[in-house]
Amino acid sequence: MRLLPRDLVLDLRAMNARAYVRIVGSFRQLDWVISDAVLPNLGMCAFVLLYRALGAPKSYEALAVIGGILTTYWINVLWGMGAQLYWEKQAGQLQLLFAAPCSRMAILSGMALGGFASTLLRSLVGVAIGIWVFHVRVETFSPWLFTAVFVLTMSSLYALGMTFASLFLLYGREAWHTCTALTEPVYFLSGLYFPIRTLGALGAVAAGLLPLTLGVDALRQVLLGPAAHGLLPVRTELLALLAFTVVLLFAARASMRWLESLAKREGRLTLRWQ
Amino acid sequence: MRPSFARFRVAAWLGWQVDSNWADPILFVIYAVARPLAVALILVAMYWAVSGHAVHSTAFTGFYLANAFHSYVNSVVVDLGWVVFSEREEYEMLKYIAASPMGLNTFLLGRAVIKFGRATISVLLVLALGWFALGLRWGNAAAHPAALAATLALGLAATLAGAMLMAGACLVLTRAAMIVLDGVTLSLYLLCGVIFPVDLLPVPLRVVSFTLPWTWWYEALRRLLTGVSASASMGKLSDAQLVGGLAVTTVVFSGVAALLFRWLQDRARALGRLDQTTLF
Amino acid sequence: MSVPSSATVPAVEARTLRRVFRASRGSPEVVALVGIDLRIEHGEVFGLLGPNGAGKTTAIKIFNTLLFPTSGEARVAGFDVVREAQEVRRRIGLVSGGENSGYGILTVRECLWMFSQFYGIPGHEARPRIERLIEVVQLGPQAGTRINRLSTGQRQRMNFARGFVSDPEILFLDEPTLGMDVTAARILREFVLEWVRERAGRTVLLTTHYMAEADQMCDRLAIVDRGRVLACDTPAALRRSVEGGQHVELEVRERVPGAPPANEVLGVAVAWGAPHPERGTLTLKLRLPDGAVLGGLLRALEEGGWSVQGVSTRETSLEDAFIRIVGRGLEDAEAPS
Repeated sequence: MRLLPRDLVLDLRAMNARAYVRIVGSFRQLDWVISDAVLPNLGMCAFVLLYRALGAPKSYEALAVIGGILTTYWINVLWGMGAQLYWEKQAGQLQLLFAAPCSRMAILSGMALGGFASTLLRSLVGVAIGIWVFHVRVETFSPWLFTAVFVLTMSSLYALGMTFASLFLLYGREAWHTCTALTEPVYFLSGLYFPIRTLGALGAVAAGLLPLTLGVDALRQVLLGPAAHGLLPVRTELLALLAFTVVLLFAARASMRWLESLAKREGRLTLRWQ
Repeated sequence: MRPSFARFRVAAWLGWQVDSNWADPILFVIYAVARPLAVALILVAMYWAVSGHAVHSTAFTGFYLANAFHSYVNSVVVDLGWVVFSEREEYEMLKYIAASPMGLNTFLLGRAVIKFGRATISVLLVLALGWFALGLRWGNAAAHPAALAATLALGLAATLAGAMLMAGACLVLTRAAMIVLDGVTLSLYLLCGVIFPVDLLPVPLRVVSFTLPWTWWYEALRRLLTGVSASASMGKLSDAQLVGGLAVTTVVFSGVAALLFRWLQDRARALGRLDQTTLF
Repeated sequence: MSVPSSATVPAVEARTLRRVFRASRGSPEVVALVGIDLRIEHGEVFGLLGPNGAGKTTAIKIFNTLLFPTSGEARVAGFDVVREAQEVRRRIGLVSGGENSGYGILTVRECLWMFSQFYGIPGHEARPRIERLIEVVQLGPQAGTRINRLSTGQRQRMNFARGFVSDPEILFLDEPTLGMDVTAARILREFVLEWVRERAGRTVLLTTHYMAEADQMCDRLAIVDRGRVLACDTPAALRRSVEGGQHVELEVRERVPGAPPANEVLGVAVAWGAPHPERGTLTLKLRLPDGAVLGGLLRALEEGGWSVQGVSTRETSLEDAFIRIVGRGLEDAEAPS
């Protein structure tokens, strides 16, 4: 540790501490089993059953299951990342975090890492439901390709979550409502429960704007092959996800700085019930 | 003006203030509209993906209609629970309301009125989207106006009862209320046959489904508006039997909800929950 | 880790510091700080004393880099709070009284450890410091208890300990004993004074509206009201600034309806104390250059239609100085009409 710059050591310690809260919290409040593991999958079940009612091929059920699993991560990004600073502000915790010398990105990165780790466990419930309840099957796939797509999808999503966090910082309750309003529209534009190609040009635009759209599509293609009705070749989508990650990390840093400055100018950093 | 009506009006006014507390009215409209529309569009896209052509199936229209009216469940039943939760945890005002002459009953009814209003906006918008943008038709509407009116009234009554029951549950629950509320949203979506026939549910869940008034509500609405049922088993019932089933389940459910609500209020007082913050 | 700054650089400095909160949704603009000047030296326990809404917390937030000033300048440990915020944050700690914050699922020990990490304290330094602080705030038996199971007072004590975990150079205490019981408050005050004396260069800026706390703890005080610093000196000097004589409190009741106001009857300068509606009396506070005139004043009141229910005299206090400077007590009412 002594060989590293002081600021980096500080930020690493802060990341570790903030991730610790997330991970420890997961195991101390076992209601996550219901809230984060079981409940999101109820929605997935409803859509799978709709495909059955419509007489769709079995591959469509697998599409819905994969989308449902990724919904768990999206919810964590939106509420565990985006809204977290709002809750911190409401609890009077935010000013303590911002008076500390560690960087904001360190706090956010810790939240992201902790959130991802705890969500990974929850998503296994969706996998279990897909395999043992709905008996979906996947094609033989390359573990390396799957890992690359999964990692880049997650990194771009959580970078987006870090950007959202700064919006909450400034806009408080308005941002909370925006995130609530964004929940289902993003499900639609991301093609979480249907092939995004169905939406034609709109789908292509959505893919260009939302990393979740590309991530879902790429993962489905890796796991289901042609039955995924993919939008773009997987490698193209991989590159796009990489670009998203880089751009969104820079955006998160820049927006956090700018919005923190604005919040301090307008006195909103410690303003509750906004 | 009678004091009780004045208090009810104040509660409704507060509900409006809280629900419309966004600096940007456009955001309010988006919030009230975007979510139900998005779910409707998901259904449309799923149907397109499978059938590859425009959505003119009567069965699909039935699902679309049920999904539209399910906004009442989301905006009233679940949201009234959130009202209790936020009043206790966030604003810490619940204790003052409970200790005032207004009391919780009047307060919650007043808040529910605004929720109904918002839900109605969502329902109408989704129906308008279906009719004008997607070309869906429910031409049977004029055939049974009395039955339709009764169906709507019974469904809304069941929704109000459900809302009070959720609010009562949240009085007793601590931070677990958040989980329960999310669970109710998704569970009812699954159990009430909103977007698929309840016949596809496993038998134990199907039994639960038939005890819920909304299952009957959606099926009765589909039948009365499109002339077709989604469920094969409920399709064997006549219109009168469907509406009758809705009436029976609504009355039973409402009675149980009223009793439970009173018990839950007392339980919350016994446990000291009314002024307890448990979120952090 | 803290490094004492140069002796020529003040610990905290404000020059024409102004903060305006802009109006929104029909609310008027609020000038929280009119343009204050302050200079706090290293090693001082400095107090900001004033009623609610005086601007004390606004000033603290600016010094803690949580709020930008509208105009003027603020420096902490020689660093500008706006342009060099990172350097400021390395050297400060903050405790806000009456706070209930904390991650409920963490234990007391874990919460303090987490904050030590936000300040980059290595584990081998943090752990013994945390244990000592836990003992100071008397949370030893609760060290392994989750925060959501602590009482309000225990949470406040934990938050108090949290402010010290980074061993800051400059500590901001914003009404730290607010809502605490008497014993706990006394222990914490003693700890603060001991902490400051323990090592040269440690500085405390304390905001309070408890006179006794300010008098006991502070080397120097600034009396703040409506965004202005009205006086700044040691407590003893502030007391001396109130001219000598005797401080008298009279509790009076209007005996004859329609009697002239008591202050007019007396013909001397009067400050109004809190009324006692349960007894139907008012409190008058006077400063008499010569105690011998008291008898004459009491007779004048009786003749003027007022009956005197109680008389008390005392030495000059900080409260007297405050009243003289601000024009009213911290909890006093405006003059009755």
